[in-house]
Amino acid sequence: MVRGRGEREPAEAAGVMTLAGMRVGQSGEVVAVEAPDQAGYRRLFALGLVPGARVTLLQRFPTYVFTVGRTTIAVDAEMARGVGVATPARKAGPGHDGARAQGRPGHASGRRTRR
Amino acid sequence: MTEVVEGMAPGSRVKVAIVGCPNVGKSVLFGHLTGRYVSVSNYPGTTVEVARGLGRWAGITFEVSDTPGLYSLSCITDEERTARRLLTRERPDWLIHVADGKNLDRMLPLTFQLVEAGFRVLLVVNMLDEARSAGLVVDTACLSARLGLPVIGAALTRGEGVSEIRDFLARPAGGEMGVRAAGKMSGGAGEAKTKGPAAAPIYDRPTEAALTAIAERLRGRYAMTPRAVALLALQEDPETLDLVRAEEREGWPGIRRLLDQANQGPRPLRHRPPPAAHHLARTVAAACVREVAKPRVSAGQILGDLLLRPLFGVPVLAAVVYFGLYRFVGGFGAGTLVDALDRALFLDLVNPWLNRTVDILFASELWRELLAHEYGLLTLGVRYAVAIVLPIVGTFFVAFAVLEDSGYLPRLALLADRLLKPLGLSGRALIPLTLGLGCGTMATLVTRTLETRRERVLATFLLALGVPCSAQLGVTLGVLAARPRALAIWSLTVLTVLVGGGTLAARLLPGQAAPFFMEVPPLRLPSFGNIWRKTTARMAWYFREVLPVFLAASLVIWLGRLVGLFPLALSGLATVCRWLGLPKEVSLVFLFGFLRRDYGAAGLYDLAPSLPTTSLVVAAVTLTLFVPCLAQVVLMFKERGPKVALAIVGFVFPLAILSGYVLSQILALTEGAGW
Repeated sequence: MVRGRGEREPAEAAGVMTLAGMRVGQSGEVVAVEAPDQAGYRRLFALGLVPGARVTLLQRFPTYVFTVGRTTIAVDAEMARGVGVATPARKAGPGHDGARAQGRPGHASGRRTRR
Repeated sequence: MTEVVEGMAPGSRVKVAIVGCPNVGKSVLFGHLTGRYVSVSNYPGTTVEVARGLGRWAGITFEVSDTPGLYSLSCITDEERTARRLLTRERPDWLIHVADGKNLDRMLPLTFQLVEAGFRVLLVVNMLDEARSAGLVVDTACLSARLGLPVIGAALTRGEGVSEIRDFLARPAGGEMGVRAAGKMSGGAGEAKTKGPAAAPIYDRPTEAALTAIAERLRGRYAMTPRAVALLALQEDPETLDLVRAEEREGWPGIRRLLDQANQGPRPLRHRPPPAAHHLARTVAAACVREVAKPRVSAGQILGDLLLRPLFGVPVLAAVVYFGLYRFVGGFGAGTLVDALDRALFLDLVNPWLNRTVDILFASELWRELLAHEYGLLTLGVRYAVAIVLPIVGTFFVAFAVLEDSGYLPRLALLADRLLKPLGLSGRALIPLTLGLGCGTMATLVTRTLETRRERVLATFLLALGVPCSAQLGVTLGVLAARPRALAIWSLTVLTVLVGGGTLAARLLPGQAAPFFMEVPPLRLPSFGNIWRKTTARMAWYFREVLPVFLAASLVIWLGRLVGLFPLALSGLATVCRWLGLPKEVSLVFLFGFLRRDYGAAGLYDLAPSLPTTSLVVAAVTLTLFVPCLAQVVLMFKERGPKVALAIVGFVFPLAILSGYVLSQILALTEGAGW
C-alpha cells in the first residue's frame, strides 16, 4: 500500500504525538490508530480517522473537536489518545504538548496499520 | 459483478433502497421519490426504523425504503445493523448511495463496500449547493468514470437532481441495469454514465491472500459476494461470524483457523482494509473534486464554532431552556393554550353539552359513566388528549424541531459529554434524554442510536425514572409556576434523584464507559416548512400511539369502578399517600399516573388549587419519578426485553416512593422551623 500523498515523509515530521497531545490549531497526518477493541477501531475508521487522513485540532475542552478533511468531529479524551498524528516541525519543542496531555507518542508506531 | 435484471416490463415493481451516512439527505430523497414525509433533521440518528413508501413514475412502481444511517458495512450501532439487514434480506434492485459532496473522501469507502458486496449502486452526490459555497466543484462525470458507477449530482433540499434520479431508475442507462450500460443519459450536472468495471480497493498481498483463501472456502448461501463476506469476517464483524458459523457447519473450524492466522501477531490483517479503502477514496476525490475558491466564512459558521465553547455555549443553553422550554412550552403551551382549550372549550362548552347529550341518549347509568361525566371516554379521555396533551406536546415538538434542524443538538451533546460520563453515558445520550422531555416513549425508541447495550439500558432507565415528558413537565410547570419556591424544590429534587439514581445504576451495571464520538454538522437556519412537517409527523405518531392508550385507560378506569377493583387499588395507594403526608385524593392521581404518566399529571392539574404547597411538591416529585406511562413500559419491554424492563420498573417504583417520603419529611421539618 502506498502513502496518502507522497510529499509528507516521516523524516520531515517533528514526531508522532496523539490527537490529545496536539495544540489547538495544529494540523497533522494520521499515522496510526489504536483502540481497545475491534468496535473501537470500526468507530475510528467510520469517522475517517485512518492513516493518511489530515486532521486539524480546533478545541480541547470540554471535548476534543477537530476536522478530518472537511468534516468536524468531536471525540472524548479516551478516543483522542488512540489516534497517532505526525505533525510537521514547529518552533515549540516536540513532546511538550504530548506530555501535558498524557499522550503516549511511542505506543502508536507499534500498531501501525499500514505497511 | 452485476448482472442484468430480468423482466423490467411496465407494471413490475422495482425495489430501491436509500443508504448512506447519517445526515446526508437520505430522508429528503425518500420524500422526493415517494411523496411521503419522514422526519429530516440536522443531527445523526433520526431514522431509527426503516421507512417504506411507494413511488410511481414512467409507468413503473418503485418500492422505496429509507434506511437508518450507515457509515460502513462493518456495523457499530443497532441502527446500522437495521440498515445492513435490510440490504441483505431484501436484496433491492438498486441501492442509492447518497453521499455528501463536500466529504466524498469520507463517503466513498461505503460505496466501495457496497460494490464489493455485489449490490447495484447508484451514487448520488448530494449537497452540491453547500459544496459550491465551500468553494468546491464536483465533477460527476469524472467520478462516474473513475468509480465505474452511475453518478448523479444533486442538491436534494432544493430538489436539484431529483428528476435525473427518477429518469435513471426508470431507464437505467438505456434499459439495461448493469453498471456497464452505455449512456443514453445526456451530459450536464446530473450525469450518469459509466465506463469500465466498478472500482473497489485492492488490499496488500497478505490481506488479499487471506481474503481469497477464506472466500474460496465459503459454500453457504449469502446475500453478499464471498469476497465481501470474507472481508467482514476478517474484520471480525460479530454478526457475519455468526452467519458464517451457521452456514458453513463443518467448514467453519477451517475458516476460523484462517481468520486466527490472519489476525494473530502484532500486525493483524483486520486493520488493513479500511485505510486502503480510504486511501482509494482520497485518490478518487482528489482527482474529481476541485477547490476553485477559498471557503467563505459565514456568520453561521462563526456562531457554530462559538457554540462549541462552554463559555458561550452554556449561557446559550440557559437561554434555550428558559425561552424554549419554560416560556414557550411551559408558558405558552401549558399555560395559554391549555387554558383556552381546556377551560374555555371543554369544561365550559364541550363537556356540559356531552354530558347532557349522553344523558338523553342513554338511560343506563353504566353507559353514561363510560362515555361522559367524571371518567368518561369522551369527557376525560378525549379532553386530556386534545386539551392538555396536544398543546403541550405540540409546542415541545416545535421547539425540538428548531433545535434539531439548526444543528444545535450535537453541539449540546459535545458540551454535555463530561457531565454525563459519571452516569455511564456519553454526550450522545443527551439527544434521547432531551427528546424524553417531549415524549418518553419516543425517546426510549431513539435510545437505539446509542452504541453499547449498557448505554441503552442506562438511558432507558433515566427516561423511566425521572425525565418528565412534556405533558407532565408542562402541567407541572403550569401548576408550580405560581409558587416559585415549590418549583425550585421540585426541580432540585428530581435532578438530585436523577443524578443519584443514574450514578448508582452506572455503578451496578457492569461494562465499560461509553465512548463519545460525534459528527458536528454545520449550523443551518431551520426552514419553517420543515419544522411544520416534522412537528405534524411527530404529532401523528404520538396520536397513533397515545390516543388508543388514553381511551384504553379510561376504559380500565370505568371497568375498575364497575367491578369494585378500583376502590381497592385506591385504598392501597391511599396508604402510600398517607405515608407521604398527602390527602387521599392524590391516590387517584397516582393511579392515573400508573396508567398514563401525563394522565396523572393532568389529574394533578385538576387537584392543584385545593392542595397546600408542601403536598403539591411531594405529589409532583413522586409523580415525576413514578413508573413511566403504560406506552413507555410496553416499549421498554419490547426494546430492552422483559428482564431489563422489570428490573427498571422494580428499581424506579420504590425509589420514587422513597424520594417522596424523604422529601415530605424534610419539608415537614423545615416547615416546622418556619419555612
